Amino acid sequence: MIRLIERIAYFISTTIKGIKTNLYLNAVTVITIAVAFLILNIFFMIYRNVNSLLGEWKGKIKIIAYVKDGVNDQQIIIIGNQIKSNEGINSVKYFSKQDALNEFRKELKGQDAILSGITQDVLPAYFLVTVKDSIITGKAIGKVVSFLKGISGITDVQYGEGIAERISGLLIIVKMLGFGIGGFMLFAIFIIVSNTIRISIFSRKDEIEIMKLVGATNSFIEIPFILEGMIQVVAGTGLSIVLLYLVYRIFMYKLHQNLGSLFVNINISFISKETMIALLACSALLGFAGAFASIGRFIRQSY
Amino acid sequence: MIQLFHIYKHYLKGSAALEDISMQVEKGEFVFITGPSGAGKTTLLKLMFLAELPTKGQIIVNGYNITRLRKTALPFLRRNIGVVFQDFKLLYDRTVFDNVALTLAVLGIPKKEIKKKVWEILKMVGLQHKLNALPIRLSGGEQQRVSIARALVNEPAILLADEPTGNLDPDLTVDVMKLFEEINIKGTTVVVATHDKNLISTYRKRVITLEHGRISEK
Ligand SMILES: Nc1ncnc2c1ncn2[C@@H]1O[C@H](COP(=O)(O)OP(=O)(O)O)[C@@H](O)[C@H]1O
Ligand SMILES: [Mg+2]
Repeated sequence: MIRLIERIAYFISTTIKGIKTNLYLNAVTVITIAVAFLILNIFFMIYRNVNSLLGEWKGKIKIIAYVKDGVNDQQIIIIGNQIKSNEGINSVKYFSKQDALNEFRKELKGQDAILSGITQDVLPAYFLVTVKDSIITGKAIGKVVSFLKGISGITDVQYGEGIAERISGLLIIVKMLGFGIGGFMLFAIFIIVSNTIRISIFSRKDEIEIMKLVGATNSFIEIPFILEGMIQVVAGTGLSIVLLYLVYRIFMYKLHQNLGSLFVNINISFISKETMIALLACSALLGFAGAFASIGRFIRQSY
Repeated sequence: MIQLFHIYKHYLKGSAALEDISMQVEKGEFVFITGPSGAGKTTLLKLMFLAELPTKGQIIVNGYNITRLRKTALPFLRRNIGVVFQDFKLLYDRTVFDNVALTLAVLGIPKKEIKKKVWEILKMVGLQHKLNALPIRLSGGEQQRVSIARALVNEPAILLADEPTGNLDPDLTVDVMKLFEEINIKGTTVVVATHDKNLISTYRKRVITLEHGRISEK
């Protein structure tokens, strides 16, 4: 037990010594990683906020399918059933000409002047259709719309303003960009870490050689380098989260200052705690992998 | 303890350093390997702890065929072998203490024990007062003794010493040889490579003479 503690203490102090000897290099590595992760984190934030915005919109997606004048009640039931048969549809509600007028009145309460000339005959009857959440992404809405248009007895179909559709399109782009840039960043960080560790190994070449000659196992020599790699990436990620938070605060401050009351209740949230933990865990893994790659080439292969 | 069978060693550049060497060192023996500079003494020692791989042939150390040893087993072989290097191989940014302690530190031995053992061995080589000095501030002879202390601190079963008295004045040479004889009496197998004819004639031990990479019969 005491041996184990001593050993851990040895590894930690050796790691710290190693970082100190290449302090400048380590600092540059950490800052580079921080900047890379900052960019990645900004994507996370955009994604998270657009996603939640979309979530808000999802419930509000309504499609209105207008019914041809002169369609009788029997046909209305048939049309209603036809609409329901589509898999993407969540709910269907029929509004007769009278219902339509009532809704219209409700919406324009207090502006009776506009309503004065309007009678029941002016407004067409319609079906109010909501779609399932899963439908909102991609071109699925378009399919539902053309399905509705194809039903006989339906004259015209209106839905939202295509905002949800556009947002989900944007979200896909953000996601793809995030994956692309993220993948590239991870690769770049991997290369950076393995290079830094390689330099670290070279700067202690003599010591490693002698340690091997007096019987040190590879893992005994390697652990401090692995720790060094892990610390670099985790520290870089930690720093990037701090930077991101600063950027976020400044952005929010400027937003409120410039747009004032117009966007009082605009709510942009920071990356989630889970994301942070996942990022830090990934960083540790990435640091391990980067250091391991160099160790394989520069410690394991020599005698 | 150490057996070589038809050993050949060719470095990547240059001609053959060793050719068809077969020899044997018994457990507890004290052996000199001698010959002119460039004869292959250092190379021969290096093969015995696998600092170099032989081009051809088999080497048995302590019952293990080290030419067939898995890399992961190599450290455990080396823990039984103390090596005094011709070029010392000291770490010049570490104190004398840290240099000697390295042999024990890599075994994960507790600090307290390391301190005690390092102190004792430094006293034996007469450097206890230089504990905290950096090797760069030491004379060649003192550096040599640090490297001897590092090789002996773990009480190895085998000691391989490459020109261990090359930088020592006659008095210190006597001290170091006395030290080697002491540990030899305690059971350590000692192999000393030297080109110093006086040393060989003073200490009457078995001598293996190399010439141009071959064992010479005279
Ligand atoms: N690392 C090396 N690379 C190439 N040639 C070497 C190397 N080490 C030794 N040699 C050559 O091998 C021969 C034997 O050298 P060495 O074993 O050092 O002899 P000694 O210790 O008896 O002086 C010499 O010709 C030397 O030049
Ligand atoms: Mg030599």
